[in-house]
Amino acid sequence: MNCKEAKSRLVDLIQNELAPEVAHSVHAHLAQCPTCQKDYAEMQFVLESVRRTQAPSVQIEPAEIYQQAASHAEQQSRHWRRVSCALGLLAASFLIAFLSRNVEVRWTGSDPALTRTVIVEKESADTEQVRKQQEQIHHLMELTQALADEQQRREVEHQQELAELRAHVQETQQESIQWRAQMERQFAGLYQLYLVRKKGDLP
Amino acid sequence: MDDAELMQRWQSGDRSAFEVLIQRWQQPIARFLFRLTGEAELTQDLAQEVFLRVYQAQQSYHENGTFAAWLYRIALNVARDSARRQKPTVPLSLYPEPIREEDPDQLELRTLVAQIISEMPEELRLVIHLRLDERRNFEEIARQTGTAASTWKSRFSRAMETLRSRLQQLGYGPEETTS
Repeated sequence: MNCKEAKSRLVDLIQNELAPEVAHSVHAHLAQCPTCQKDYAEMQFVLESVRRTQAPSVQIEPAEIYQQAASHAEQQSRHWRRVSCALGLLAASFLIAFLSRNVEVRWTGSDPALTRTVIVEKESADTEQVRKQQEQIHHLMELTQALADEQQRREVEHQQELAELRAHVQETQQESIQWRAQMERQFAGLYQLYLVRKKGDLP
Repeated sequence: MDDAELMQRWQSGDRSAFEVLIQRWQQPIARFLFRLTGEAELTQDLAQEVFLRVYQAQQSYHENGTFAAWLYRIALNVARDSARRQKPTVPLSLYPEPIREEDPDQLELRTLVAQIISEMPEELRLVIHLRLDERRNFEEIARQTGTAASTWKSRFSRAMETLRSRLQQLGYGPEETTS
């Protein structure tokens, strides 16, 4: 075995992943090659250092996941409510803007006490223009209605998801209570056994 | 029961299957996240976030790939999001020299190794995890990722060389540890 072949197998050798006969050949090469011996020692040091930097052990609680998922779903539902409100307001502003193009507010009278407002409809020179605007208003109203329907559908979905998640959380809590009771019973049984044995040991 | 079967059972309403998947995968995912972030104290929260995303993506999982590949993709996204939120750490080059004389214990070495790895490009961190933590060979890694084994091999050599030379610069090497 030459240096290149030996070097390509150093990691496998250190991790005990080589077939015995290949491992034997690498060891034989290392025994007579100081350069590869140095590489081997360095690689061993690096791998050992990496191995020692192990991840901490983690414990994921499913109940926490269900709880977090429920709260996310609720947040999302609130977000959609806000979005639909904003869109509704926007649609209303558009409507007002369209309508105000066709009305005019005029202040009359010289005496401020007698001042009154009259709303005079502007005469539309172009009836085609009016028809188009009415169509646009109609579309806008349809869009607002569709958004409201969509929001309602999402709301129902979110409520269902929430109910499901709450049921999951409750079930998990019930299970852990049962587990705890069972553990306590087992512990009490073991303790009784211990007491009986201890009594038996007494002279 | 394998992961695909557990996913199917979970998708059809058996949530205990989800809990088995958590039990099975929480530690590999923690190792993966730790290698990517180098932050031990973040690992628990990030692992929790991974399984929360898995839970939320329950219905969008389809069996086109393996469950593990899907899970690791989620974990990778969680680690990337976390890296974007984190402030940059102090580069090793700014550490006062010489470190070894100041605090020569193993804890220091572990911290340095974790930091050197966390500063490496993502593909090098990935190969360290897959090759050393999960002990996969390059052919397995290539099958799982769809990238050639030779590419992973060269990335691994680069990662090992980076570690060796950075540790040497900081005064750590095999001679010192054996003495």
